[in-house]
Amino acid sequence: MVRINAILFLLILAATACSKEKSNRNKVAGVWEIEKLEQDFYSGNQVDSSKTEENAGKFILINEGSSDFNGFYYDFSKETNKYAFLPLMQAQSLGTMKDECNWNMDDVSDERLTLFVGTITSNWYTHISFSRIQKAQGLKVREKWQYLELNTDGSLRIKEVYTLKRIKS
Amino acid sequence: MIAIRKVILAVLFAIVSTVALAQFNVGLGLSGGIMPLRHKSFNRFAESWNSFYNGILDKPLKPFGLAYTQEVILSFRFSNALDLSAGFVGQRAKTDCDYTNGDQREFKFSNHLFVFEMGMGPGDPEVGWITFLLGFSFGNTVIDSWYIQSDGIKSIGQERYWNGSFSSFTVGCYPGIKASVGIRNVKLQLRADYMLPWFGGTQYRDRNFARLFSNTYSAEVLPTDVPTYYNDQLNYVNVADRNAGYVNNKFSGFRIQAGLVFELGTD
Repeated sequence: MVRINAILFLLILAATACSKEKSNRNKVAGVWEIEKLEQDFYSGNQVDSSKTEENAGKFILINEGSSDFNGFYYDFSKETNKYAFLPLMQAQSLGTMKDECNWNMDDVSDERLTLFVGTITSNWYTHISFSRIQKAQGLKVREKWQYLELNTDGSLRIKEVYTLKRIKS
Repeated sequence: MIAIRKVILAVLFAIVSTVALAQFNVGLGLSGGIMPLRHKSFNRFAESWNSFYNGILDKPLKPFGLAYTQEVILSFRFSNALDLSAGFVGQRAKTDCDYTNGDQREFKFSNHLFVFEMGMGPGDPEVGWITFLLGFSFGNTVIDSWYIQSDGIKSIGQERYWNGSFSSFTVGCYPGIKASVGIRNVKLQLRADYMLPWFGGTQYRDRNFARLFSNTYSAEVLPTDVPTYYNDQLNYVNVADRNAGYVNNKFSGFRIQAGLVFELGTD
């Protein structure tokens, strides 16, 4: 029995030698419903105005097994301003596929998710990053992703928090 | 990276083969401890950082101080003398600087290393062991950098220049000694070793693919000459042509740990 347990422990060690990036990618791949989008607009480091939108649409993160290129689609229920996506929308002309961009996760941290639009040949990407400020784990089924946009002097201009529920992994 | 995984798997296969054939005592060790982290290239980064941001810093960036360590390790003891062990070691340390506007930047050093140890020394299953060991470690070491505003909002994305997850694959070794003493199946273990870089000098790099080819300014590495690196990037100088040195994964430290070993039995 001791021998079997010891060998099992070593096999677990071997399994964990696998890619961290792959594990991180699996944590966020799937279809996410945007239950709530909260936007804070700042002026002089103070919240100037706020806006909340319920059922704002869906994010679809396709896991294509790539450390860099995985398909990403968004489906917004209303054509209101999602500031995180403005740079991506403006950059779509660089790409060849409408309404599509790519995503990847860091290979070490599961906190940062990057969405980007561009072409492989151009080697030039427009990207935004979300930080997962609340992760789905245990009894928590929802995640919160945060996007920050700054003024040129480094002060905060916009904060967006997406409350998401994964409806398909 | 793939080659290193093959080495790890080969080492594990060798241990499994030995375990499958030989007589041994097996023990599961859980321990924690401290290591004053010596990280010279990061210290140079901190000095340069403090000089560059001198006017807007309320509290300067300090070197990493104590690193806290945890270890889970499975040991096989053959003929009451030879010790082969495999497991995981985690280490983490943190430092920060405060800005005059109340904001803060933090740097976190962390790693999760696969370790393999070989050792020899006298002992008795009923009393305990003293083992002189040589350990080898493999794994990613990461320096995370983020910004916290005075109102608590944490920024980790590329919206700020120095944000990032800078990582480097680390291979190290550590000579040391461990001693365990106790009654029957539970023993108190003390261990001391000195972690050294085996192959050192690889720079920490934020390997976010999209960022590397983006039109957004953000640091790809942590430089030891902050002003030169920053100005070179503003002037579109290629990374390869920049004159700044980089923070690399050469770190070391004398590590002391204490914990428990659960003797799982003899087979």
